[in-house]
Amino acid sequence: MKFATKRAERLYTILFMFLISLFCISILTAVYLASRERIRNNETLASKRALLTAARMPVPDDLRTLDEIFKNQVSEYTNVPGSRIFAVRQGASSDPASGRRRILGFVFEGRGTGLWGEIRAWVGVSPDRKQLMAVAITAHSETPGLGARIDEPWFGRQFSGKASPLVARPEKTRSAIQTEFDGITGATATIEGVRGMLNSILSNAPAAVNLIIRFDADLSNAVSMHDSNAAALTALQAKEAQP
Amino acid sequence: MSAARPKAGRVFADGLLRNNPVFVQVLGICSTLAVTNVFENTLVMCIGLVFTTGLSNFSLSLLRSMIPGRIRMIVETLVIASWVIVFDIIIKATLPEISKALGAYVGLIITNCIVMGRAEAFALANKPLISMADGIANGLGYSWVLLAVAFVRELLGSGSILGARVLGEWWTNWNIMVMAPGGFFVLAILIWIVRGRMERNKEGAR
Repeated sequence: MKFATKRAERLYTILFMFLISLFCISILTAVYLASRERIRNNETLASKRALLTAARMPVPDDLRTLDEIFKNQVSEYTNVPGSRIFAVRQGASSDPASGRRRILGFVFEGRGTGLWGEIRAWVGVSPDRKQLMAVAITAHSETPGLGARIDEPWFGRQFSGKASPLVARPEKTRSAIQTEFDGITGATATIEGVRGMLNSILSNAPAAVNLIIRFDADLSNAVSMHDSNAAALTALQAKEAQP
Repeated sequence: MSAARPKAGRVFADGLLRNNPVFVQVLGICSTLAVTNVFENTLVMCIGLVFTTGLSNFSLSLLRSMIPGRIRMIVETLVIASWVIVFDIIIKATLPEISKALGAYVGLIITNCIVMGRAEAFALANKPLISMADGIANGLGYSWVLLAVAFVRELLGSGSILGARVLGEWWTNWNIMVMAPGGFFVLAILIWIVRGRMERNKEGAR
């Protein structure tokens, strides 16, 4: 009799645990399925906005305009191993005869090591592959109030025109030197991670762009056009500077 | 039996002050130190905790006569974790920026001692609605302490409140306030002031 009661108790415990687990899992699955699309859209939207910020493009509020920009002006290249690169072109052609569109810049996916984990960012690189345009941090697990401040807009914007080898200076230095940027007080390890990530992207950018233009004649033309224009401008400036 | 039944007013007074989870029960200290350096993150964390304590107390009280004693803590953890995941999904869908800023902290509500403490001490012995009131009261009691700590830490550590600059460019940020030791100092001073006042009131009443 006692044995039978114990057995019934055990069976009830197992059955109760099974049913309560099933109930909780069902509720969670329902809530997840109901919001899955919205969460995915939020993530895509945030990533696309960050990418345009890195390319110093105006960021539209509505999803439709954003999709239009990505369809017409942004092309992704995955043929460089371990790296995602985007080329950002002008919206309308600057040369109606050829229909060619000017290249506005490249955006690289950056990965660095912070104090607590991986830092991920979109890093805008100028068409000449020598300077940064801006940086948009997309994911990190740094300390809120300290290292986490790398995702504040001023931090990413300050890299416009900066070049390798980057060196961090104290916060609010606002150095005019091309290789110096403002760090964040109390977040040395995080800043070192960002600095390493950016220096690595800048040193690899010319080779990576050379690789992707081999497979895209239109992009190759746009880059050559940019380079020859830049060379002509430099020659003109040098001539004007002569006494 | 009916004389011992707790009243909603008393439950709220206990949760907010007399038996405050942080000052008196000294629970939830880890998250008090972790999230209070940014006011906005603290606010969302507090909303999450009130949501979880209220609903987990309600659900566990509903199930209290059915839960086998030997697995009650596993069931409590399961129910609490489910409510926390529901809250996490809701903020991911509606407040993606804040969800990103909070990162792992939302998941850590599961391990907050206040939630399980109230389930064990109150929900398993009382009816669902009053248990829910107790959960909300304790969540609010925890929240006001956290928000007070966050206010001081963000103001002195970053010169701002809710991200808006309050103290001007002349202010030099106290970095220690943004780091964990700053949380210890502010919380200790707050506990010292409130407990000192409570003790004085007790002596006065005697």
